[in-house]
Amino acid sequence: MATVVSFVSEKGGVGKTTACYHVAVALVRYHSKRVLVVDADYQRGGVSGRFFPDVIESFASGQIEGTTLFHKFQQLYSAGQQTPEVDVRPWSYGSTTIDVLPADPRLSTVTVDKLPSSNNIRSNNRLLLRHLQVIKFVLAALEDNYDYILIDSHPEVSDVLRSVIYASDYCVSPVKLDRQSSIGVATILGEINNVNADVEMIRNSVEDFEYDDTEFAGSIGMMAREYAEALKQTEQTEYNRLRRLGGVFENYVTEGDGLRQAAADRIPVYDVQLLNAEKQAEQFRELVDEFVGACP
Amino acid sequence: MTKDEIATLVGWLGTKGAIAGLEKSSLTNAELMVIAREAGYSVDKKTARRQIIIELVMSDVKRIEKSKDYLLKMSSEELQRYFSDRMVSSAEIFQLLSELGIAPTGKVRGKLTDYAAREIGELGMFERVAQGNKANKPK
Repeated sequence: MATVVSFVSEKGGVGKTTACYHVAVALVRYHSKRVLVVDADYQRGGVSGRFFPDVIESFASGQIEGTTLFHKFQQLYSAGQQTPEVDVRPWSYGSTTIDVLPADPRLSTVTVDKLPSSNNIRSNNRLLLRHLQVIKFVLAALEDNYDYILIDSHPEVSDVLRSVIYASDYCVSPVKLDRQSSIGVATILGEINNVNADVEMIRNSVEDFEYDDTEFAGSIGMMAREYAEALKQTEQTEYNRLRRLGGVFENYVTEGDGLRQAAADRIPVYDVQLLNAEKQAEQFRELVDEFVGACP
Repeated sequence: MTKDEIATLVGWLGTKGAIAGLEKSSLTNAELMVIAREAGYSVDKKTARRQIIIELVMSDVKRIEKSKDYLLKMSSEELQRYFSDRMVSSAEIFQLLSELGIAPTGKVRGKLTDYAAREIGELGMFERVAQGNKANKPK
């Protein structure tokens, strides 16, 4: 059974996609794990584009082939039969192979407002629960094939994000070490608590079922800046703040050209021949060692 | 005057009364400094008269008497008033910031109270947001 970990933040541009991509590659390459990456970022489809450049264009034109998470929400809105099948696309680079469930921009139209409603409170709550369960339902049919399922998400609290949180055993929150980005972590923590509390309420009042609360495994410092091999003081203050806000990974990734070059070449930073890339690659490897311990 | 006599003065007049009284008293800065040094406080020639008196009067008073959890529920403005009303020393603010994992830079010199009030107020706000809807429940 796979461990499901989502990369979430309410703030954009903090490194969610970069972190998700490099953690996925490192899990396969350095920990011999079988990994599925689910792209639930309907705004950019960044991680899909990182794996498959052709997705960037089809994402922009809205012409997505195959069955995606979007269709699974549609089944619910049309009161059709729920089926878990989706089209997973294999990606390989050298000997590294990762399965990917690509993004679909139509996920932006997903909302509980489309659910058929009645004047029966229990029935309405059951439908809200089904909405929350859509992604977990899809992943349940796939999880025996993987050790880890990583979900990249969009920077917005939405009904898709709530379904992502519900489907996850753990959430991690990549963050730039500044005040504006830290609030994105606080908001996400709040939403994780909201989802857990909503599920508890439904379990107690409408329908009992097995559910383990989604845990926040910690923030991940991205694009960090150092002075003399340690975080700059202002960034250390933010780091300490995050430690109080549900925890933070001790390993972080510094800002630099290695990751820029890796993105331009569409390859992992582990394979970029630059001094700075070697440093960032090593930071990611250490981060993933810690990740495996935090999200077993 | 001795430290014990200052404690008696505080008993009669309260902390604010004792500070005001000593400020207007005929004791010179040098005499106040001698009392402070005998009592073991670190003051030097540059320490202002009022600051020496505050150290003498408030040394036995726990100036930050609220718990950290309570302080984190206060707004920046409330914290600023609280630190000012309680005449909290820089050393105590540094200690509090350190316990909360907040490391002030050199740039906050002269504005430490404002900085601490803002940082602690925001930290509390972040922690409330992180609790989700239950933080918004009416009490």
